[in-house]
Amino acid sequence: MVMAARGRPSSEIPPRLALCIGLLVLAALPAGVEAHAVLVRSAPEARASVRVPPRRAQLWFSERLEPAYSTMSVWNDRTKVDSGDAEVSREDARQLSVALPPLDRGVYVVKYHVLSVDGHVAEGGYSFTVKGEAGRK
Amino acid sequence: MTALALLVRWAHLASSVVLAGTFVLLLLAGRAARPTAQRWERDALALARICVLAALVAGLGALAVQTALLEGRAQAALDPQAIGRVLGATRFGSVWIVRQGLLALLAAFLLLPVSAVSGADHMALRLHCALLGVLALGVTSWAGHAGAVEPAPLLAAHVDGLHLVAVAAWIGGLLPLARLLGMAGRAEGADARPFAVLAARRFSALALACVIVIVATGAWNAWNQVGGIPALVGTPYGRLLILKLALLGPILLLAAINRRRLIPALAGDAETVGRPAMLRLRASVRIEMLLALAMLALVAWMAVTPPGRHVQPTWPFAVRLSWEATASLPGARLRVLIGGLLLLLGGLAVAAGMLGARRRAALATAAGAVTFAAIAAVPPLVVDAYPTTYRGSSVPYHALSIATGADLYARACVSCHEARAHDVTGANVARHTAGDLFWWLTHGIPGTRMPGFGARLSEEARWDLVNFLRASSAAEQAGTLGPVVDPSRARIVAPDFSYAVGPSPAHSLRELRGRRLVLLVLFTLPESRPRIAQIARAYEALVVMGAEVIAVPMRPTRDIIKRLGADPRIFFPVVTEGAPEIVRTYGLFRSADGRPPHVEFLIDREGYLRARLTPAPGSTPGLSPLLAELQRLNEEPQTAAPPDEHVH
Repeated sequence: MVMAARGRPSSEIPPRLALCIGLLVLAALPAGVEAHAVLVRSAPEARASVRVPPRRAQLWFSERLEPAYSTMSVWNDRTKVDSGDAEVSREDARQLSVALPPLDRGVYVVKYHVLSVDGHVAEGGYSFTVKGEAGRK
Repeated sequence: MTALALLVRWAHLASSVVLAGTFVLLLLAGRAARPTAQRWERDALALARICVLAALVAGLGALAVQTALLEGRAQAALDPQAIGRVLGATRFGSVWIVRQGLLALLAAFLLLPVSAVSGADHMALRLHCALLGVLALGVTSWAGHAGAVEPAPLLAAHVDGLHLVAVAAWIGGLLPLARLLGMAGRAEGADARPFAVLAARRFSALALACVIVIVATGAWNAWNQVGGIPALVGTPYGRLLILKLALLGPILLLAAINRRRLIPALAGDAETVGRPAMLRLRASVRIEMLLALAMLALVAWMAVTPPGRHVQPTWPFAVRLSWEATASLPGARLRVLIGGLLLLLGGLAVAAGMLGARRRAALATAAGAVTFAAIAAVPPLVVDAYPTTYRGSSVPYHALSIATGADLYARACVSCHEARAHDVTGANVARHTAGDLFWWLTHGIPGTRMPGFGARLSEEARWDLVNFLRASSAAEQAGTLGPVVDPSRARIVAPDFSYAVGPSPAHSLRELRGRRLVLLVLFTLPESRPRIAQIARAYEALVVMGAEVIAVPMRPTRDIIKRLGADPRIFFPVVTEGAPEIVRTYGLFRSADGRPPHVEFLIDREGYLRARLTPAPGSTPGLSPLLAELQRLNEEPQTAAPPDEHVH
């Protein structure tokens, strides 16, 4: 009986313990939630200065993408210039690309918004420059 | 939204874990024959019903939250069209359908009056429910971080699924076990005591097996998702993992006490012998369970946090350990080696202590050895560290960046570093991480004349400088690189570059990685004409040997291809766009003495510079030495890991 009584007080600890754990977890909360798929490489590359305007803008990510929620666009100043058919490659689900019309010389900004298969969204962008001969047949 | 997502994930996870664990325990306990045990069984099934409903509801919540997140608007959570899109077009949706289906099936078994008359049927029903519960839990791995691990997502998802299932079998059973121990520990529950003792013993055996599986799969997962000490201590994900392990410690301690002390004390013939131990065991199991639920909250948090591997770590300490740092200290490496041996001795002593009888003596030896090891080995290894020490460059190691960095260096750095102090040497740079250099560039070095450029140069520009310094340092290392491939030589990363020929779209060196050997030819006309002609004639043979040739003019002109002549015809790319950056970057690697007008680099399939050929001006060596080196690279087993291609 004495032994049983000794067992009891310990079973009263949990609420306090739970509070401590709760506080501990709260103290450790990281701020904000960031993206998961990471841009590994792109063509044209970020900051590249190309004489021949690219026919496509291509992005490669660290993880596979969900085609339905992954998109990209190319902008000149505030005008969207891409053909609007951004798609995830069928062969390599980590690659996203969009076709481009003949681009005049100028600075272009590529923006992307992708969902990786682990259910997380990533956003970003970079710019490249077209120099030299303008337009292309 | 994040808090809601977290709560939903936790509810989802906790209810699924308890659900699966309850059925595993029901299976272990076997069929109850006495009234109290039968009452417990009914309680456990009631718990399972609550859990399956909670898991289904939490699943609906998770779907709503995910839809709102993906559509970028809260109202989408209730929009059937948006929900349909998430279900039909994402992996999250497919996994969700499978999981809810399994749970619905399980709920049907639990809520409909399915009765088993025979003992075998009874067990079959339990087994069936346990399997459904375990599957519904394990399948979630495919839609989580593990399912996105490259290059083997299936393997990673299976390992993660196994981890989850082992967790469920262990900690999911704690709640019903505590209940059983409580019921059997009461004065009027004496009839259930043998049943409870048996269940606890079996559970304990299973828990031990589960812990082994959890530690093994957990370590594997951690390696995949975190990848190293800097990410462990320097990223939110890594810190959550540390916290999770910190919770695991007391749980394992409690489990060990239960296993070694309390469970053996349960046995006894007299009616009250095992009762105190049973109640203490129940208290201990309850604490274990609360800690486990807190741990699941951390797991849910980790699931919505980017894995450490994808995040730039912030090193929290002012020092780090560095083997490279000992190179310049006389006698330091010997000290470190002695320390290492002592550490090994300590490890052996610990192992001996575990196995042998004279445990105290062995542990004392171990403690002594480890202390001396630390005193001997640690001080020479310690070097200063900064928050950015382990950050990778946010700008790729690319000719474009290196050439930009070279210009910046000439403009902003040369006046001090080259004119007065010759301190930016290859060896100096190689001893530090890119992150160290970045920190100094940004904040300066106190006590020296080095100012911080954080306010004057953009982050991008500072990384360009770091890339240039790294390339220069690597070029110094390459000083002795010769025309023959030496497998034992430290690998030098070939800086990436992009190139285009005429109006065709641009390509990059990296695209060839894993596929082709690359012969990069930096040429000057007219000196290089005979050699180019030689390569052009042998091009077919080179291609057969798995090589691609990229020719880059050192003095690019618009008519460079015309100037090369029509005979023999050149079928490999002669770079017309991107040449200046390539020449600028690879020019660093040209040679320590002189600036030969023609130089060739051999780059292996992993992306490393392996040989440098500088035919003397005027002479045209035969192609057979080149072919021999290509053959050597073809025969070489892949020994070096490809250079880190992580760019943030």
